[in-house]
Amino acid sequence: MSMMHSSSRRSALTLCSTLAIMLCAASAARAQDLRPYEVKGDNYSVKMKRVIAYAAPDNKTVFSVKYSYSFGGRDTVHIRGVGVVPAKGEYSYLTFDKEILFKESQNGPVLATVPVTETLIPMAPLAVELPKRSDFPSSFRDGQWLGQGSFQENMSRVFDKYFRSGHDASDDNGINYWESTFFNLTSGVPPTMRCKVAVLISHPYNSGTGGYSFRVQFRAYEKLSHDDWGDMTDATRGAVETFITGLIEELKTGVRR
Amino acid sequence: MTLTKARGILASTFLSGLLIQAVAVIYVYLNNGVKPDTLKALLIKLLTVYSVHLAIILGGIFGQQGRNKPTGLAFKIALAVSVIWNLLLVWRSVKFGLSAEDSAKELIEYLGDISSASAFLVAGALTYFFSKQ
Repeated sequence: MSMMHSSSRRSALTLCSTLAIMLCAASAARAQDLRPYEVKGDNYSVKMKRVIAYAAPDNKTVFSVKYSYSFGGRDTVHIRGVGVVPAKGEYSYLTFDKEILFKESQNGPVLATVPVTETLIPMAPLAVELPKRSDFPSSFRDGQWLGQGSFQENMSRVFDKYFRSGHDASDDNGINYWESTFFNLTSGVPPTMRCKVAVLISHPYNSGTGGYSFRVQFRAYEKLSHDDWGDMTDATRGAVETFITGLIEELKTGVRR
Repeated sequence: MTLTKARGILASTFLSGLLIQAVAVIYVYLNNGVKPDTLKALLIKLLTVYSVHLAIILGGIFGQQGRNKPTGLAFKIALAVSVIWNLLLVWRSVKFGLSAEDSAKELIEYLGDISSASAFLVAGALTYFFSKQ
């Protein structure tokens, strides 16, 4: 009887040790939780609310950033990759840059340089599907910003609505490029098919008083439910073009559909 | 457990596995889940995967039997592989005939590629029952 008690006690101890080891491993496997941070300076403040690194194609790292900013004593500022925006606001997007650059104007002096430092490091690496810039065709459709207020804020709202995985913001020779991740299109797509669309919006063109124009390039892929992704065909072309037309209308007017 | 019975069970296991997977793939195609080229690639891959093992099994059954007195097992296996081989082709032709829209070119390519890839299933059995003694 006493031998049975000691063996069952040993079994219980073994079980408890195993559970303890498992709990320690589980807690160690949590993501490292860093903190949002703020950069303050002469009459400005930038709060970096979220910075998470994602694996991008071609072994690159892209950062998902979300920040709010406030620059006193002026109406507008220029943010690299975003463009000329109101002096106070909030944006979230993907960027390959290691810093966010605020300037007086596109070619003006630098107001602030905010480093992009991760606020959260997940234990499991995250990946984001960003199409290559070269995947977009050279042909485009264009629109004219007709709404009130900031085009970038409207564009940001439209992108957040459709492209939930984020979008990349960059600039080149005075033109800002916003490249989206993929949107899974279902409206107008045959039920046995899948379709995904990404857009590349560039602006400003023909800047002048009263607004400016933007260009929309898009790339769409389709597949059957169990097959591989391939280029868009006539089966989904109509649905894609309808989606792009509606997107351009929202970008032009700021009116939600 | 006799050798004949064991051979029968093992042969049935492999043939059933091949048939079930082929049916699953064809079912997805009939529900517009994959393109014709993908279906062909999947079926050819299945046949290739099974060809080595089934060649051994079928060779063992038909290559060593005395033809003067074929066993029941030899006939059952021959019938099974013949049915499978024919089904692999017949279903596609029947679909061609019954569909409102199809492609003769695709059917021609399918019949050619699948019949070649699956010839190993029936070669031994047909030789056994039809070649001169």
